Amino acid sequence: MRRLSRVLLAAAAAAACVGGDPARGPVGGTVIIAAAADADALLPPLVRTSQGRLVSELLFDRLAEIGPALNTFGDDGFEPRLARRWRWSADSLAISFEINPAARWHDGQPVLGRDLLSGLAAIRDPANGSSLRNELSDLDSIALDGDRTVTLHFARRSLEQFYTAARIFPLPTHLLPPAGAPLATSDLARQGIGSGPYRLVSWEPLSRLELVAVDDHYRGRARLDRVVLSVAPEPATGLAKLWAGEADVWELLPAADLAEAARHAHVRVVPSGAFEYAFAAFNFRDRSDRDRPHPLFRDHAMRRAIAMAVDRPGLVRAIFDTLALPLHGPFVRAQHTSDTTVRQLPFDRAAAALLLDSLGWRLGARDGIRRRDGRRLTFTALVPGSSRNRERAAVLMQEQLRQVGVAMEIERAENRVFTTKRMAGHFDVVFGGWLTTPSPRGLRGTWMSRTPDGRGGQNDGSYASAAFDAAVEAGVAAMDPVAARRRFRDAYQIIVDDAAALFLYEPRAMAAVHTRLRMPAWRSDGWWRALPEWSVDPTARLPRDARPTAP
Amino acid sequence: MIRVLRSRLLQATAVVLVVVTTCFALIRLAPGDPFFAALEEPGVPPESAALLREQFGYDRPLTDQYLRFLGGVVRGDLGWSHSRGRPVSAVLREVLPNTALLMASALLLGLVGGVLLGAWQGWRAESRLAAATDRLALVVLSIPEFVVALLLALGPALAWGLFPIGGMRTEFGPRGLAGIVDVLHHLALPAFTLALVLAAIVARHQRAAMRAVRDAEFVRASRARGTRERTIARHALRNALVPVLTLTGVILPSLLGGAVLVERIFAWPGMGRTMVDAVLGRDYPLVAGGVIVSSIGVVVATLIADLAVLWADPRLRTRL
Repeated sequence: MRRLSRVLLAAAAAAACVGGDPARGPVGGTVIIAAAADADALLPPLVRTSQGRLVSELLFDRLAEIGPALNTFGDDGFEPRLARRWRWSADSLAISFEINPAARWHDGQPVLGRDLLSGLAAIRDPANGSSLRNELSDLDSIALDGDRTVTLHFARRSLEQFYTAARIFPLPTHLLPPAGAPLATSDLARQGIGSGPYRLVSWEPLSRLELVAVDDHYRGRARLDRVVLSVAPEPATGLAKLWAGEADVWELLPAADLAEAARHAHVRVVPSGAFEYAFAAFNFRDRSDRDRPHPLFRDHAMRRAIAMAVDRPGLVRAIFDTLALPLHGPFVRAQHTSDTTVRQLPFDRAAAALLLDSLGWRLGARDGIRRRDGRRLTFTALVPGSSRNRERAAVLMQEQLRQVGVAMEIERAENRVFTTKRMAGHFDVVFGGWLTTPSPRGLRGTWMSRTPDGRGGQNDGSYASAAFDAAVEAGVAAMDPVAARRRFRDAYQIIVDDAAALFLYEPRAMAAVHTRLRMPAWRSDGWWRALPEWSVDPTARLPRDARPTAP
Repeated sequence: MIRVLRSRLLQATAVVLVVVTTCFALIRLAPGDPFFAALEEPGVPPESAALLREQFGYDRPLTDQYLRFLGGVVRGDLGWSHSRGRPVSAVLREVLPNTALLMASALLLGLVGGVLLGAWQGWRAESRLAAATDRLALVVLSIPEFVVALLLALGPALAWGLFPIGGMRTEFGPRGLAGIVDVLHHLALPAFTLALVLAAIVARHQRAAMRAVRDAEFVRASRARGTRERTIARHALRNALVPVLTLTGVILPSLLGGAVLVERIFAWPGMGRTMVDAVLGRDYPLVAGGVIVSSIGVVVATLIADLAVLWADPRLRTRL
């Protein structure tokens, strides 16, 4: 009996050292993520960049996490995080979240209901510029019931009210700056004391950031001991670190480097998916006077002619081969409301030419560019200098338009200049890109008509369609998922038929990862969310996978 | 000497003030918004950027911003870096030593290497090896610094594995004395890249200066008196150093410019990268703070170069 207990004890000790739960993979190891930029902030409401999101979402937990299906309607598939359970009111206008009593901040203090209020206040403070702020407009009030139960009351029902509420990150109230002091300049903004599976150990700006697994985390300890963000501003250097085995992950592998990746036995390529799409949007207002309609693009037939003159699938193939897919509208395929049956304007150069003829634009004999009343058919496309793909798309589109007698000038602009011009509407066509979310609600900010309450805030081309707006709002307001998807499909069809933009492509992103890392499926809405489940193959450990020494 | 120092310090203050003012005006005249990232994200309320501008005082008139900035500088407050979320002085304190280490190493390597090579080339001007090394220096000069950096990163670092690819330390590497060796190991390639170009420039100037001194009357007279060749060379080198020391003062700003690229390629966390990021991010206080620090650095280094010239050429001291 004593021998048996000794064996059991030894087995338990071995499990604790090497792996614990075999189903989840062995414990220990380090992942070094090479990144082109440093994290911009640690606190979720202040974060803007993907590096910032990566770090902040490892440091902080939400109330609940969306499931792998990325369904944003209702609470189906959502997994508990800080909220161990939730309860809907009978009229579906309120959700009560019960905070897990085992949840602790990294300084040992318990996570309480008031911390949810603090997180919500930070989102609502316009000085923090949180993208969730507008989405919480339906949230009417919050009530604390005891220390750990919080009830969110909504002004109206919607299919996504749970999705919205679940995305709030509670913040440690006891560490927040005094009322009125900016969160961005507080000590907490540098300390990053959160409730997530990793805690901050060190942050050397521009260089590296190190996180260590929280041993007694309420959801169980993360598999990997350490996560390091190693900043390499030159992509060539970041990739070289990966090839040399100095780093383990490079998030967005350029297509040109796929062959190089294949040459390194310790590197494997993982399809990573993305929530990003690119488009060429028409400006519906005059670039020099936004009170006037655009002289060319106010005309639906002109926009249709331009759209029909461009071979979008061919253009996407020429730039990406198979590493991007043509869009069917302002959505990516990973969104659960996506619909690839949306009817597209055909690529028909002859029909486009006829349409332009019918508008009075006749081919000029001298330079092959159409003219009407002595005026050349020309416009300027604003392109961000930072996006090589969009630049290439602009060049290819320029050539295709030239073939129907349209002159498109390309104006490349540095990122800040690009954004300033885009926001001011100083363009005829803009080669833009949006990083969207699993929710189709983003359409409200990007394509809906501008309203004083902030809708259409990023609709810089000033596309305005009452029918489109109504379809989006009907989709948002619908309580039946099938009806909601149908309404969003209607909206997609309307905007495509209106030729508000040429919806170009969604990249099929690839990541490069060290082969010793074991991981669950790569999440396209944020691959780092599964990082606590990553582990290192015990037979392929490197010196850096040794357990960290206590500081 | 004190009069010279006082005069140089006054000039230096004026230079720093002009540089900072010009930079302050230029960066604000450039189009673009400091809170670009906020504006790029769908869903961020447009008034957020306006509030942030107000919070950081960017909505005030330019003259007001400038006076507030100067007032802050006088009080030793360089402002708040909104892109780093910390005081500018804290950001600079972190990155300045790294750049100082890189620049000092490159300067030392480049100057010593360039002076020795150029002096030897000038003294042995007729030898084929001297001519060959001179052409080699020309080849090095004609290759842009970032190409040299990339070649070194791909060759000795990636292909041969002799040096780390980038960064300043090995992840979870050794500490203490071994840690210092580790930093030097990481420093080798970026410092060598900067030093190589510097050495090539210095060598060409040193060669020309040494050739001119080699035929000077005092050298011929020394030789006629039977002085040992090594002693003559030493005296000749001191005379030939003057133009090179003057050049060093001039070359420092371009070395700082080179450091920007090299720091980027080798992921060296220094001033150069910080400044580039700050300019691209329209982080006005950080740009201004960085410019103040770098212009003070250049002015001080130029002053040291001038003093070195005085040391090398006693005739100049008598003219003061």
